[in-house]
Amino acid sequence: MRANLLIGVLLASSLSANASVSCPGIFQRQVNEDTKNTYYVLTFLGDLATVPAEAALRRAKLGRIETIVTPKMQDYVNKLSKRASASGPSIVLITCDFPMGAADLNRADMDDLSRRNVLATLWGGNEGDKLSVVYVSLPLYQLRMGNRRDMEVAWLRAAVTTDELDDWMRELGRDSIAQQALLALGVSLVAIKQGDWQFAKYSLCQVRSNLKLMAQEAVRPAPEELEQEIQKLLKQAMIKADQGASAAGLDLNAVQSIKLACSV
Amino acid sequence: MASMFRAWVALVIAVCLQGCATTVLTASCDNPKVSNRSIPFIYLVMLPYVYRGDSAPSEMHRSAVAALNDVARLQVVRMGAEASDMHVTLLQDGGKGCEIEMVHKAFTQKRLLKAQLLSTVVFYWGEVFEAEDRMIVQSHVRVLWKNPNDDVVSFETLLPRSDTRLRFNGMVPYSTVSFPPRDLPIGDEVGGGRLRMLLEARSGTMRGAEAVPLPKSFLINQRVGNWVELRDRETQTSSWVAVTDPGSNAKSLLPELSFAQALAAYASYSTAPNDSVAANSIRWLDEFRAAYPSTGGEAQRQSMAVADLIEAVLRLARNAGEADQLRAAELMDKAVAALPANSAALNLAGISRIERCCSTRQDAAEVQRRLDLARQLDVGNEVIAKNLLNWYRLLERKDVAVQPYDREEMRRRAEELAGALR
Repeated sequence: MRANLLIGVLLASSLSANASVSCPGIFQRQVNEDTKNTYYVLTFLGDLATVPAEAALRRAKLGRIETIVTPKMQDYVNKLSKRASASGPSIVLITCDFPMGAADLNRADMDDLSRRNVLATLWGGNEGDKLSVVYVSLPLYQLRMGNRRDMEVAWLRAAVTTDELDDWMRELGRDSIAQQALLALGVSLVAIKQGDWQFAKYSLCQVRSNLKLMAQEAVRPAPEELEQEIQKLLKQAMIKADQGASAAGLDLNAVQSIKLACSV
Repeated sequence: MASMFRAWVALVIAVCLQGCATTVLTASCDNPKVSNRSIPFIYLVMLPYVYRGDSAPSEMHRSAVAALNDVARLQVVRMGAEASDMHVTLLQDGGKGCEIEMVHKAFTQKRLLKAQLLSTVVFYWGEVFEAEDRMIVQSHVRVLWKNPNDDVVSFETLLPRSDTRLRFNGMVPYSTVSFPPRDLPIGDEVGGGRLRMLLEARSGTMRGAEAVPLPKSFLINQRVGNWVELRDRETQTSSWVAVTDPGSNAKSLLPELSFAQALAAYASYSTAPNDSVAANSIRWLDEFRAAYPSTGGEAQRQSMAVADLIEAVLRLARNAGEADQLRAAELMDKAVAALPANSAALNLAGISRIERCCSTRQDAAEVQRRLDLARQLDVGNEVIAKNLLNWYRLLERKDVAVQPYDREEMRRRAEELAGALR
């Protein structure tokens, strides 16, 4: 509930002191930079026990993850855009200093975050006795009915050490197929909204290729369920991308990398 | 020569070392430069370590970071003396901070204005921060290749019963490598004095010359034999450092610099293959690995895997015999185990096995697995798709007993792929 209240404050007044302490990067950047094509991945790390209690110290420690993980995510998105001969978005990882509760981040919150170019939110969870990453793709959330829990994709964390913060850094920095595919899915749905049909189609085909492997990594929802659900969504999104391209007079099948990507 | 590198004039100093083989200059982060006096194989651009602690830096922190930078810069000077045809730029904070993304942008943005980057650039940077009562340093390295295809590694193999040579291409993954954080051994000593004592600056060009403290801020003035003169920027006094000294203390303090040096040599090798460059690169990778525990786990996974891949490629490229081949295969296997979902690593490790493949079906199946997975993970990558297609062409001519699929299935796969590539 605390997170709910904080997000409420945070969304109601983007430059309030509370907001900038809890999740500051997104606000600083929105003030200082042209953010039209910049998208954010919010990581909620407020439940880490090994970071200091004092706010400024916590902020500094959590912020380190941003500088390490952002280039890795950006590298992946750059690869997609390079292959599609498109200019993909900038991706910025932002750490938010509060724990995620079951009742937090409801649909209204997620809608608001979507308007702020938030691509995904993720936090730590438990699946049975194992630690997991819980990931919600916001563009996907926007397209589906249901509560937050239904939108979550969880996979097990590979690295478990005594230092939770470093553990997170390594987990988000490794090439987990689930993370790669969900990122590609997020940017492809955003590209459809923006009418960037080439980038959208390419990324959707990349997701389709990764789907089975991603489902195998996921522990929630069940692999078959996740695969079916995303397959359905991919079909609809592909149709949209094809129709959009056709209306714009683009022949996506004439783009070699797209032809190659979509033949898998 | 492109105007971007011709026009700048703000260099503080540019000195030719070792018969102009390696040049070193210092410049401001606000206006990052490389030398225009020659076109080396490699530019190494070193940013200063910056303090990113939890609070404003104390005098002790400031001093420790300054000392660390001295150690790092000196080590880079030593590296420059060991390398051939490298240009080193040591960047300094001009007062507005020193961020890698800004420096990197300065190099890449200019390329958009059609100016050519004259050589591949290796960037090196890092941060110092605190963890409980310890000071920690973390370093990073990034490569900006001069041309998009300069990082391509090729292997060729003869198609059985023909004169056709099949070419397989790949590359070492990651343009940026972040190293594991490591303790900075300054203890409670104010000013990081112990760090400076690791260096053996002397008052003259002899081992027996009086040991003097390394200046806080210095210019690399000249090289006389095996000694490099550092000139204190405040007092203008000189001190000398032996460049032949392996600097074991400095190297153990920042083994990541050995990785950067190996990476620079690797990039240089791709431009001008040379056995001694390959041997040096492998030696520096060994130095890097030696500084880490063999069971370092997840924190070292990425950097160790990249080190393994670089060494494997160099060993295969110089092809000095069976031992090189075996060691390369071992390193590739290790790298794939460490990076199981990295398409570039899978592809490289897959194609590197092809020439010696396949005495068993299991061998062929492993190449197939690596290439299939690489293609799935980077689905529009034409290089990987062409490798897979060539692999099918090769398999068709191999003994049926080693083929991972029946002939029909292989033909179907090959036709599908060829269709997508047309």
